[in-house]
Amino acid sequence: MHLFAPFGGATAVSRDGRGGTGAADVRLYCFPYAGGGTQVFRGWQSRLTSRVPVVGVRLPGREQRFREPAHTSWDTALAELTAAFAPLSDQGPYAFFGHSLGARLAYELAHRLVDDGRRPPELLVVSACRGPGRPPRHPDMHSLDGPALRARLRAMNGVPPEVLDNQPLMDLLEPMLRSDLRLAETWRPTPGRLPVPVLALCGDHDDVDPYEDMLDWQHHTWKGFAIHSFPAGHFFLREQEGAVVEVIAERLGGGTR
Amino acid sequence: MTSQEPTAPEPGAPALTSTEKALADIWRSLFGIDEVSADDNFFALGGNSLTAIRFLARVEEQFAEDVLPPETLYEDPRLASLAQAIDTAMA
Repeated sequence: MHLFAPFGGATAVSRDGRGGTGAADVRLYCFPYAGGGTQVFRGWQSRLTSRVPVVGVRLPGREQRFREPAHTSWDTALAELTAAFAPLSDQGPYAFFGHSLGARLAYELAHRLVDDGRRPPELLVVSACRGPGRPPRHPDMHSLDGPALRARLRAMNGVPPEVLDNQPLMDLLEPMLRSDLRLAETWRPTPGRLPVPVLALCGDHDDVDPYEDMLDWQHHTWKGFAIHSFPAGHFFLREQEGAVVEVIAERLGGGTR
Repeated sequence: MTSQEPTAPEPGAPALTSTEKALADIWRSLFGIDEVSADDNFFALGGNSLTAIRFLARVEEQFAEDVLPPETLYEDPRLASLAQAIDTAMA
């Protein structure tokens, strides 16, 4: 099904069936932003020790799942993720990292796993995502027309200019990107607190999900809240990859190399 | 360049067609790896939208314009399938 992209060992999926290499201290599952694939996390493993195997979560509609339609509803997205993660959650400590749309998916998935009596993640890292219930600061992107959407993506530095300028490729990828944006923008957050520590990461220059909007995450955990900011915009995880991974590694105790 | 006849195999690797070899060369330089096989998958090797653009540009340079549209790459990103698509388009 290609849901998992295990960067801690490519042949390991068949061995333990959970996208990892076996014994690990904390497995880190990484959920991408709208339109994103797992490749954005490929470089993380080389910065982390093998005690923190990195596993990218590949949503339908991209990479090896290109031919599957992207999720158009929260119900189907969470049904897929809950079914895949329920058995894994009982196999050892794990943590979630999600950026923007990915943070929302990780948060909702954590609620469902907890509600089902599963072992919760050791840590929920929410990156570039306003706290549940905070109103958006910008109009929805998923309903913008093509030129307006591309202008917005260009301004946010969310898609490389070479890709935005490549009409055939954009024609191919835009439907998936719009589905992802619609999912992100129709998020109806599950209320309440998780029995999971929350680490919020934000970009100093992010006007989509700024620091003050991310402080609200403190009301969604019983187990402690921390926030870090990085000198960049909404996509700071690409520009500040080393610093981002270091902050996460420090919390997970696996160390960096 | 576009013959579908297998050429002499490299030691330890199955024979690649000349088109497959040409694509494998592009992937080796694109991904900075030494080994590429006919079964390798563009996305499993680390491909993304940006590397797709670079790859398709190299294909256009070495073969011809429009022999490999982006949807062909995304829908079946295995090296052998891509080589076959190019051979068909060039035939």
